[in-house]
Amino acid sequence: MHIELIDFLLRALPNLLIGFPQERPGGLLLSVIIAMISIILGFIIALGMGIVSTSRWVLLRWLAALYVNLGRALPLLFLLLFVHQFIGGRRFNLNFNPTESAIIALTVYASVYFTEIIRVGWLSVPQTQIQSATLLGAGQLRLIRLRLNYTIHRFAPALVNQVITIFKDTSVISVLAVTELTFVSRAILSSNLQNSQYAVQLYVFVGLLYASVALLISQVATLKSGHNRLKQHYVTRLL
Amino acid sequence: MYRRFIALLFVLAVSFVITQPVAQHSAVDAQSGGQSTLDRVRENGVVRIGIRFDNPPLSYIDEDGNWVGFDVDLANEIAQRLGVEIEQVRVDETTRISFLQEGQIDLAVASMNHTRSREDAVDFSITYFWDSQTFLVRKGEFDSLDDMFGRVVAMNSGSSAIGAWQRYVEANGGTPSEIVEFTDKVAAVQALRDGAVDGYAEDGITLAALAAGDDSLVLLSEGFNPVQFGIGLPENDSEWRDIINYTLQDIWLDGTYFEIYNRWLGPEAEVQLPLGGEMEIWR
Repeated sequence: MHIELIDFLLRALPNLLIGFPQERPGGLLLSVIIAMISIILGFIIALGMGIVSTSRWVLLRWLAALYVNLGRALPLLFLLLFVHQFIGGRRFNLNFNPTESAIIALTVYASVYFTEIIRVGWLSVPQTQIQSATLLGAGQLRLIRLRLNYTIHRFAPALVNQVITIFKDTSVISVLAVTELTFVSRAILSSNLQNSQYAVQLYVFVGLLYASVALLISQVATLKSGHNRLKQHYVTRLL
Repeated sequence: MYRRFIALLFVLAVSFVITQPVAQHSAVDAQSGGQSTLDRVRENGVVRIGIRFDNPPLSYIDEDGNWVGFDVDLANEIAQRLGVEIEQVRVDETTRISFLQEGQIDLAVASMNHTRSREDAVDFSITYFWDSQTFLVRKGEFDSLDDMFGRVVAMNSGSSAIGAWQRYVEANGGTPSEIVEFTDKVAAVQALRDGAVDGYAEDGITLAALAAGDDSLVLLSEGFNPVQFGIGLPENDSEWRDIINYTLQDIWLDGTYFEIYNRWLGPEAEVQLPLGGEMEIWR
């Protein structure tokens, strides 16, 4: 029994990690790739949105608030079906394939949460820092860099949290049959009539795969922030 | 807060207006001389066929990643006879109808039971597969449909078996069963093995496939609801439906149907199901 289970998992492993031979990348690799693309695109949109939402112009602020509120109010699954079925179908002749729809939906989803983090970080930069920088002759660009640096370092834990959440949420896109990890595990279970007996074991194994990537992300983040603390300490000592 | 709520309602209202199903637009277009599905398929040289990936032995992805099964072979045969390329689109029980409505697929060879309620949303071809809904049970515990009255039973969420079983129980004066809905068939069978449910009702073919190789589970010999699979088609496009019906009949008439059927369900196949009906043929 145990040997059969191990044999089953070993046979499933390549498909789970990098997808079926005909459709690579797939599996965990595709989950990571889609999460990375969505996180990077989402972060870029959020930078714009976050800064716009602290703008002096009411209309811009209002639009950014609408985007965030709407994006936050919709469940990811709904957002995904909305993008794929309503917007991305034949209505506007866009014909998104499932992977494109998934990336768009996850990007929007990631961007609304990042926007909030960036907006709060942006507003939390102490006025004294901004004034000192201005006195030292910093221009607009330098000020933006200062505020961004401050935000990213101070709110790193919240950002890392969000990155892990987006990565885990890629499992939702399996409903569109994108060949990511959750889809591959479902397909493997129905690939052979005997496989149904390993349902629980396979899902536990897949859960471990998700967890190990999530842990890896938080480990890397911790190492990096530890490195930053050291640097700060060094600076204080110098002063 | 109040204004935000109003704005949100407004956006939702607008989206309702712009989100009328596409298939209905296209039907209107077809009547007024616009493009029907057939024109579009011929123009693009590609037919997009929705096929399930999680339904052995009718359609599934094997261990080497090949997408195979009865429905897959039939879909390929249809595309070949239409003289166009096939684009296979993976669908499941939840997406096969909405993809048709939104025009993301041109037809669905997806083990779809032809029901009146589904007719509200999409159209169907003539029947191409015959089966009956019944129960999978633990061997030796139950042997007739009446034994399932008042029991805790598993069904697939959204399955036509739910309504059919409730009607059967009512018609036979039994105690209503407690129905537990599953989205994952594998999980439903596991619940049956674990004793969480006493039976699992679904199409006979699906149950036979799920229980193949497991001697502890057995199918009840009687069924409570005959099932007719039709090919799902966009609503109100009769030209397209005619072509698909004629193609199915041609496939039946020259014997290709039996070749495909025996490959997956014949006496030498892993899962065996005697052919349950005969296709209607128009001269």
